Amino acid sequence: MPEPSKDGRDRLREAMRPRISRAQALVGVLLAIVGYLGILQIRSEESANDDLAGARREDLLQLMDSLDAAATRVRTEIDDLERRRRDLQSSASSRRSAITEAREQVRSLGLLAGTLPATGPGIVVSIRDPQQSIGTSTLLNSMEELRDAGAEAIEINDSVRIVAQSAFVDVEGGVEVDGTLIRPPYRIEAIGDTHTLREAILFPGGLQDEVERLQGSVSISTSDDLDITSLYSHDAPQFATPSEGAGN
Amino acid sequence: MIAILGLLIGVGFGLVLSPEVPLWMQPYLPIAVVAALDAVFGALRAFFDGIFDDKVFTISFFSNVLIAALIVYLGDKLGVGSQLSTGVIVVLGIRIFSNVAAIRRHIFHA
Repeated sequence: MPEPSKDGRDRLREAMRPRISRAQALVGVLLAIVGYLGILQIRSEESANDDLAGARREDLLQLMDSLDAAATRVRTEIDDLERRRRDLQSSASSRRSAITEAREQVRSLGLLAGTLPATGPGIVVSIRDPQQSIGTSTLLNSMEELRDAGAEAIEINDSVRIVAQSAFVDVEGGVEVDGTLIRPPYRIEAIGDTHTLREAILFPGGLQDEVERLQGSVSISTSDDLDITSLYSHDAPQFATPSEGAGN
Repeated sequence: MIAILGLLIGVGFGLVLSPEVPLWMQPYLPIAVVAALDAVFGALRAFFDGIFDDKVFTISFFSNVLIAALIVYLGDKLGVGSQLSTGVIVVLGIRIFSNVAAIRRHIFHA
């Protein structure tokens, strides 16, 4: 027990003198432990979700609400963008299919209009005309019979493609088709169903009979791989335009 | 002198090492620190009263820490951990305040 005359300040002054005693060392060790643990705790509190832990409940709720709202907004935006992407994709695919269809149509119309070379099964009709007595009417008849029988592409003498606009004119020494002189023997190539085409030529009273009546002769050969290479060149229509609403 | 040096050394170690608090220790550490602070202030008051005894300080320091940890552990087991921690903190806080008041009277005579 120290003397009672000493007061707190004296003791403090005394303790501050650098002097090693068991009590001082012990207190030092324990204070070191306190300091260490305190810093440890402060550090762990700081590192643990920084400022949210100390936030008030209302603030946290508000924060959560705003985060919720932001999430909803973003989700709506995502939905919107996805819908637009789907729309674009479907429009792209429909455009692609429209293009494919149009291309298909161009091909088939090209065959019909004679602007594309054609290949396929068909017949070759050879007409010999030693008397020069066969004219436009016979040839036109034969064209019509062949068309009737479903001929999809017709060519005469490997040089003229027969289309809807083809015109036949009688001239000296043969027939002029679309401005090209065709001389006998005529050689008509037609692509289509070979059997039907044959029948169209051979039926009683048909082309064969007519040609034979005119002292000519007809021979038919069929081929699985007929090539029609001559083309018809169309001028752009000068007077006719498609009617309103046509083409759809 | 050495006591203050010890405190500084402890703080320095904590700052330099800054280790992770192990998970099992996390609920007990804050209470243990406050309990230790209580013991330290109690010792300081005893020192100014002239009745400081290092053995008493050592024992009170460790028993404080141990009991604080025990109370928190018990509270956790009973499902009232946070309330009990608050209670412990309040009690220790009151004790720290009264000790500091006594110390203040010793130093400033007021």
